[in-house]
Amino acid sequence: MSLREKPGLALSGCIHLLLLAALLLSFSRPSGFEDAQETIPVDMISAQDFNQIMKGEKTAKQIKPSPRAEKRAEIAELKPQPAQVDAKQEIPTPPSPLKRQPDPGREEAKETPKPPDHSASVQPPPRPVEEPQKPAPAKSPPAASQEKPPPDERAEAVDPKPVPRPKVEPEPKPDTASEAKAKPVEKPKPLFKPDQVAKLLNQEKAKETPEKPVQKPAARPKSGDEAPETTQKFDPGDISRLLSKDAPQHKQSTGRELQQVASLGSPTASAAKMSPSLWGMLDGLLQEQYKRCWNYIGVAGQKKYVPEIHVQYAQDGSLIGQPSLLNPPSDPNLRSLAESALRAVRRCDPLHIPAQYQPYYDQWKGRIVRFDPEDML
Amino acid sequence: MNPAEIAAAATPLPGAEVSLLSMFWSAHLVVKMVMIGLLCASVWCWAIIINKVILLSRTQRAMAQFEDVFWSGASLDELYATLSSRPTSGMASLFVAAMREWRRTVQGASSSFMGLQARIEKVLDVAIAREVEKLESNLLVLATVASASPFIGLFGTVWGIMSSFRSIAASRNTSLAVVAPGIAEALFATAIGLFAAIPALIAYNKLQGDVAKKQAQLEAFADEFSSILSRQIDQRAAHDQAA
Repeated sequence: MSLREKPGLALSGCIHLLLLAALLLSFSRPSGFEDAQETIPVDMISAQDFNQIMKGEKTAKQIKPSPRAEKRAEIAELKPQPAQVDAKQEIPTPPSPLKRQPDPGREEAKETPKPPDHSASVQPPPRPVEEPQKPAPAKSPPAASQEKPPPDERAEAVDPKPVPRPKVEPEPKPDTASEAKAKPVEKPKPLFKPDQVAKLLNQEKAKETPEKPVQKPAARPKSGDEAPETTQKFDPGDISRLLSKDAPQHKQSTGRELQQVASLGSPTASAAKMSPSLWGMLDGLLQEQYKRCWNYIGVAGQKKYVPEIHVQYAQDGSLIGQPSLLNPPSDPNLRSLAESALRAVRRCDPLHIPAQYQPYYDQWKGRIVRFDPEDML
Repeated sequence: MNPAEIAAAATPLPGAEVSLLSMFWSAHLVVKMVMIGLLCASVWCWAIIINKVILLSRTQRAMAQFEDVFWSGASLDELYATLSSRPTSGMASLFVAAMREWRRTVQGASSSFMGLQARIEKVLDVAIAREVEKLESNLLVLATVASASPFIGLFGTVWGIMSSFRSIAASRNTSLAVVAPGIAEALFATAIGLFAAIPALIAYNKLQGDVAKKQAQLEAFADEFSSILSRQIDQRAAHDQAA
């Protein structure tokens, strides 16, 4: 009864519930904004502005030339890495160098190759890493060694050894070539940087006393065993590398520090601007020269007309291309005036431009010359 | 996985964060109460609006019907007999009130017509006032809601923004993603306030006009009827004097 009399409350309640439900549905997934496109502001600059920008600092100190370094060499630990691949096959050899140290001397004498062999074969990888610590000039050998890891390096270090032992390593392989190349590079190296001393000492020791393994367990076994080792762990993936006759190259040059050089700017760039007084002097100078070249006898009266001629100069003051008249006269009577002005420009072809204006060539290379009869006659 | 899929997978989370319900639940208690109050006000407003519209249209229909019958020339006594037996509204109730007063006087022993005219007019005035009051009741609620609910919503918004600023200050993070949900839920309060206020305002003006129109009709009818009755009274008085 009351519902029929006053259905308002029930009705409005229903309406609100429906509305809320609709809102919940429609609001459940708010639409995000579309990603705004980023705009990149672009400035147009003239060639002259570009020259200004590129000028750089001409007085910057030139840094002593050193090989270009793009990357700092990583600091590598000197500890040899444990053998990875073949060590598994060799049951008894945990590749810790310290234990073996007493052995290898004996082994070399006996030339029982196996265990040291593998440690040697596996170890080379760390080597090249440690090498880059040497300063730049010494870098080429490491690069070579990186290319052909196992034999090369060792060959260098242990050079003398092969002599006593007949079977010595590298002959069958292209090693020899690279070795030959590598050696000359290494030997002449005149500067003894402190870092290198240790290495050199090591090498010395290796050369002098092959039996003392203490210092370089890694380098140790190399001497005798290289040949067998290479044959054993013949890696098909390496064939191309072994066969390549390319000279050792820098893959990426590394140095002890990055080379940072101030930009010296391009030689043709000009940053200097003419001062107003210089401008005025140049104007007067050119105007004077044109005045001398210009002979125009005519009635300059009835109409004010000043021919404006666009001229382009080369560095030495000669014309480039044809001078062009910017405002051809409508009155045929004045045409002779314009013609004479053009003629004057052509006659003055190599203008004399003092040397002091040379740096500002960019600014005066294109000019508009005005031949005002009242001024110039 | 392309970036579109990643974006699609990532959107549900913020989407859920800004949905209407979660906006409500994450609001401050004051803001919540403001929202609920405003929602109730809106429900009430619409209930009043619907009731009033129905009442007015019903009244309109009844008045038209009554006027048809009244001016059809039928006997007023018969009309009174039919109408007085059931509850009436609008003009009919006016008619019944005046007729009752008239009959009481005519059938009474004194049968003095001296003050009858004045009494009938008083009765008609009272009946009009009662009818108008019936039509007008609750319209003031609409007016109140229309004027107050924007302020209440604004209060909720200010409170919500205040608390979200306080949480910004506490978290020391001013990125828009942190600020936005709080401000959105605060603005939600104002939205509800406006949602309640706008229909209330419009309906109040409309209904107020309708009620005024009905009142004018009632007064016109009352004047006509009282003039008819006064003519009757004068005739009766002349008749009595002649007799």
